[in-house]
Amino acid sequence: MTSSDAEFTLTDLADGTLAGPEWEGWLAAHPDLAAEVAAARQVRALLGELRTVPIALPTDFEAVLMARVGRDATYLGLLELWLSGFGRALLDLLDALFDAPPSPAPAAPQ
Amino acid sequence: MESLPPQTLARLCQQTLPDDARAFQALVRQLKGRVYATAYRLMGSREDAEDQAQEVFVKVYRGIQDLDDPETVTAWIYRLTVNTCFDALRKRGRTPTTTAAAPPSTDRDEEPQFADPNAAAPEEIALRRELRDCLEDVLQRLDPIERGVLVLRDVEDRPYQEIAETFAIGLGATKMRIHRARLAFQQLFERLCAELWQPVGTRGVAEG
Repeated sequence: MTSSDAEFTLTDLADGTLAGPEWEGWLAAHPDLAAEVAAARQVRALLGELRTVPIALPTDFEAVLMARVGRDATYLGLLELWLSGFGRALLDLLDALFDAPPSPAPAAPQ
Repeated sequence: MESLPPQTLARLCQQTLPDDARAFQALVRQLKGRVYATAYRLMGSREDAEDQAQEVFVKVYRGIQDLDDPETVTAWIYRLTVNTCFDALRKRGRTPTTTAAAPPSTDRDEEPQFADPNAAAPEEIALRRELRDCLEDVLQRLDPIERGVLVLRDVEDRPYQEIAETFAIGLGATKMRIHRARLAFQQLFERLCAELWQPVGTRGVAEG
């Protein structure tokens, strides 16, 4: 087993996604790696403490957000309107440039 | 509507935005706590966390129509959270903020307000408070990638595959980073919060 193989096996062992007597035996045969797995398990358990802590958000978080996305929707609407107006003007211009009837040929000198 | 799962709300958002934002608002209500907590742990301050959490939900609002698979909405929002916070940290060229001399819990204004719904003995509350302060402090001293993988895996309990996709690395590399980050965390924790770190089997702070 290479060292990087060992490292992700150790993660699986620490998280319990690899388990069983054969792995316990393997750990018993590698006390230094067993110590790493034990430390990793303890870190996971400690950090899991933070998951259970409800964190109070600022009371106006949602109101501020909804006002922001409301403005966003308005801007997007205006942009869409502007783009559709601009698009129409551009099409008119292209029409004028390329679809205009050919200019009359200059009259031949008499 | 708020009891609907995030995937269903995401589908509703795709059908109703921008005309009707009720599904979006319900989605925000469900996930704002997790997004804010993750942003707080990545950024290190309440004010930054609020700014970045707002940014995340604005991105959700703008991008949810393009989300191919609404089943992945939670993973997508976590990914947006990590990327948004990392972008903000990069823009400021910031490194973790805490100083070695500062005790972990002196500045209450820089921390979120914790509400503890379960009444417990004052000593136990104080011990847990001290433990949380230490954990938050040590997290802030890790480099951002180590902090990111630990927050996603061990605090938020996200699956390996999702973390791999968030950091755009393979599954093996993800597990390797998680392992190294845990060892780095353990060394720092043992050094900075020695009285709270007990070798496995001798005391039960970690075990509950």
